[in-house]
Amino acid sequence: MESFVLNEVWGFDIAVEMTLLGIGAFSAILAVIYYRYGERGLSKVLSVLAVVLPLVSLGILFSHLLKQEAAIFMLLTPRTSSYMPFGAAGITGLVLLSAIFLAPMLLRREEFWSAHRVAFGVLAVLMIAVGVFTAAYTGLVIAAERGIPFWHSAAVPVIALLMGAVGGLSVLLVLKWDGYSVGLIGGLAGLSLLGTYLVHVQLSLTGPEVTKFSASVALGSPLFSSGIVAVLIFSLIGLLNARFRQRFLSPLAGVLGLLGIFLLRVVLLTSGAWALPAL
Amino acid sequence: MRPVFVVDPRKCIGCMACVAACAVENGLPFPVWHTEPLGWPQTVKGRTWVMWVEDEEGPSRTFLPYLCQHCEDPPCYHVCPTQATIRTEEGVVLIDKAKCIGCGYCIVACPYGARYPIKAGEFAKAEKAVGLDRAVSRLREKNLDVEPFETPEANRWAAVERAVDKCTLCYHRKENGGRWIPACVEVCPTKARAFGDLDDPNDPVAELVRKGKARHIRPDLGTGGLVYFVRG
Repeated sequence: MESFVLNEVWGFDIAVEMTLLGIGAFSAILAVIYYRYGERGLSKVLSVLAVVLPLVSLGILFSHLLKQEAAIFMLLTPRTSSYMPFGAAGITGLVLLSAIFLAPMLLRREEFWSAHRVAFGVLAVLMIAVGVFTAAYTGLVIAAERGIPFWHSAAVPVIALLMGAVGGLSVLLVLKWDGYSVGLIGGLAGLSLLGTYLVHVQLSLTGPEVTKFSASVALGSPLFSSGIVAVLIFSLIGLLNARFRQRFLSPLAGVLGLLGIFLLRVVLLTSGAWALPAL
Repeated sequence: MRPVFVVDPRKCIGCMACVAACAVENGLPFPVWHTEPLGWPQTVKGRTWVMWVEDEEGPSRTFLPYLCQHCEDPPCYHVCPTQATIRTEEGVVLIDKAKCIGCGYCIVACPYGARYPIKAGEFAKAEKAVGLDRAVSRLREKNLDVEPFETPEANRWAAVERAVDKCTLCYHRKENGGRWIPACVEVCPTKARAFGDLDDPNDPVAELVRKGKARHIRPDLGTGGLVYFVRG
């Protein structure tokens, strides 16, 4: 016999941390893309977010530790079979790369990277690679958990990556009200996220008892339905607004996108359950 | 030596002597050990505990003594980011408390629910919750010399605050050169818990494993381990 016990170790605070990290990661990616296409101001704001949000998430992660001063061992004696040292390196790398990218713009030398195209190319590739990894890491870190079968799935890193993409594009929509093509891409990312998330929950319902239990808990949560509706509206606005071009709908979609991914992240974490041996 | 820990749930009477012995041996105040009804894993803060269910007919209970399985392929070991989780040559899974950052990754990874965090100030809070501090004060007012708690021997694997904790199979007893037998096994009045050596051909405890009378509790997980349960 088994008893199903819901995870309470990683809950709301880790959901906040992971959501900020995902948004920060895609802010870095979008910052270099927008710089490449000449939108310096937007790139600057996104770069600031790419520095600040991962730092805040690192702060949350740090405060979650029982013994902060021992965190140095993650650098001194890292275990390479664990995703966490790679995640910590990724977050640190993301902050450093974004700070390097941001520095000339803060010094009012917006054209610095245009004048140093090779350096910009290298930095852009690194930022995109680290950004993608960091966003996916928020899923990889829980997908590696054999103890919680609901998370132990190849779909989870994909969900995390899509959450990061939707988060980054949502921020962009809040900043850039006439970003109709951004809305279109965001809409496609949102629908992909919904599809992957719902397939994951549906497959969990057909899996072992413990994944059925987790999926049932998720489906029964008002946060789940709210999150699904929020991302769905975000996606529909994004897709339809590419045609109807209503400025005021962009920030609305952005806010809904951010809310949606956060709620779905909370549900994913809090629905994870152990199937622990019992009498 | 290849240690093996065998649990025979049929013999367990739920006296909790094992739980008390473990608490004393490893420096945990008893209130921290307080179990929720039924004592399912992850609802208990303890290195070892006893789960039970009320039998449907008659006033009786069925018990299941429980502890870390000391997996051969420990999920907790693989996810620990600082190498705080180690595995000895005998296969005992231990936590180097100096290196443990308390991230909780191992707690989530453990499919047996055998790990738990001890937060800062938790010992004092637990003692205060049951009035232990007041009891000690009253005894001292009466000039009675009392020590509320003292670990009986040096134990480098003892429970400490601000780290994750779990069963060590009383590995410190081996390190201290004494007879290696976990405290819970030593005090069990019905021999529901037994400790043996698979390398010893005459060991009756190891024989239970060799003959297949004792098996892992969740062989489907494929983690292996040093702890076996007598079935049937």
